[in-house]
Amino acid sequence: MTEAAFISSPHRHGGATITAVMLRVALALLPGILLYAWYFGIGILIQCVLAACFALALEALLLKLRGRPVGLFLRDGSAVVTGLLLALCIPPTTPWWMVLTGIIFAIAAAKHAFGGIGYNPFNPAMAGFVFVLLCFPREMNSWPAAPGTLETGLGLGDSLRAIFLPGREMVDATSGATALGYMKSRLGLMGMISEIRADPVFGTFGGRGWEWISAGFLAGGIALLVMGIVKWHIPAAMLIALTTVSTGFHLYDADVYASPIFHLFGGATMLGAFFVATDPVSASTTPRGRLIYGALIGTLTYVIRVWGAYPDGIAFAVLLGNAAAPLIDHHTRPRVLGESGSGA
Amino acid sequence: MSDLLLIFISASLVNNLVLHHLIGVGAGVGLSRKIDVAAGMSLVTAVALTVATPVTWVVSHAVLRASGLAYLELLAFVLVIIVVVMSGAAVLARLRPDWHDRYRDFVPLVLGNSAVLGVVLLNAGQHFGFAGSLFYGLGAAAGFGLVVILVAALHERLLVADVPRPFQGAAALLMALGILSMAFMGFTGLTRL
Repeated sequence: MTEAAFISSPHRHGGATITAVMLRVALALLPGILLYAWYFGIGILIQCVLAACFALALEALLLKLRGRPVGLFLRDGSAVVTGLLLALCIPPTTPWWMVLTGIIFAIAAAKHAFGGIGYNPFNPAMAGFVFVLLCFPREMNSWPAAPGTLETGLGLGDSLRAIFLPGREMVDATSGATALGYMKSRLGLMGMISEIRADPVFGTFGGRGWEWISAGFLAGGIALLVMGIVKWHIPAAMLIALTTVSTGFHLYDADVYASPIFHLFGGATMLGAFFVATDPVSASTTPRGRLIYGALIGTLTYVIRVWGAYPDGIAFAVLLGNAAAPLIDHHTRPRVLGESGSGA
Repeated sequence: MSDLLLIFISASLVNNLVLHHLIGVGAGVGLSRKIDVAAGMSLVTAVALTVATPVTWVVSHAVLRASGLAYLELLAFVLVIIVVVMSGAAVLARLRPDWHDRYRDFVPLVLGNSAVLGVVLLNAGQHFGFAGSLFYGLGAAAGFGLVVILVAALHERLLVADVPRPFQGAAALLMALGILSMAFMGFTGLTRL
């Protein structure tokens, strides 16, 4: 913002470099990623490494093309976090060239076309994910089957084959649906939630396996809050908005509208609330704006999940929130002293 | 009532004028460098759309189609839009001269805005009836205004960004519009229209 209030010197640097922040974000993702690998096999680890490598390589190439200092910007680690977030959104058996497509869109089109780190109006990882979701809808919906139902958790060999040599034969264990997707398709067939919940794809409060991965991301997110890397406004507003709206509809008709706990721990809610929506570049920057921005994402997520065509709405909701962020900032930025009341 | 609400949501979000039909992109992107200009522009367009859509429906159904002159629709719609916008400006000048002064500059822009003619023609291809046409015009106007204002706010941020030379100006804005269009695809399925 050009009209930032100037606080007079001396300033002391807080020691927070982008590298340190990004390293801690990656570390905070770790519990969720490890639980993911525990429940659904080693594929996600391969996916994370692959996406992070693609992201780093592409970032380096684009920095070189743009004549920017490659080493300096590469070490900030933002490309790695973008790669990790994209890998966590796509199914663990996604073929490598779809991952590459997503990374190219994320880093080249959503980030560097707008000026690189600090200027991207949309979250690069979510833009990349939505791009591959729209390009390859079938592959983006073949999730590993719930743990305990089939022979799940692909081993190293099968995972490598699915990612690098796709199309030979699709393994049966990769043709599942997520709890959100299953809920949506069964509700479309007039099923009642009490019956739907009996399916083994559901665990105690969310999707089987997924609920604990969400809990892992929640733990990592709380660690980020404690470390002061993420401010509480966005995650709190987003989760409270989602809880409020889903509680309202759940109380209205519990057979058609799933419980708030299911929405909180189903899909990418926790990942989105703590790691995606809080991206400081594409989020709103004023405290009041952050509350509005978070609440907007939470509400839109519910609307897209329940009435839209896509099972999970986090990525779309975050992009819509990003689009609204400049407008929210415009109306919530503190008035400069002496500025007239109506001009803002 | 819920049908009308669905028409409104469909016209504003699911089948957004700018992002889905790609109508009014030039007006939406090119003219909106400041948020208050964009807001004024979308307000005038909104009024024009909300009035012109049901009026053209009446003209089309009560006059043209009844007398076998449906092929004159395009010409008649252009005339109706001109009459609606110009008479609206004249009425405003009589009732609220101060408002008229503030919004006068937008009138020629609205007259030449493909969005108005586009909505009117799209509506003619549907079977919404009179009330449906009114809500279709209202929804299209809301969707147009939403995108124009969002893009204007985004534009203010892009002006200070370190955008690479080939992407500066309209290119970056169109890229942003493209990603916004992808985000709006999340609304797919909200209505079945």
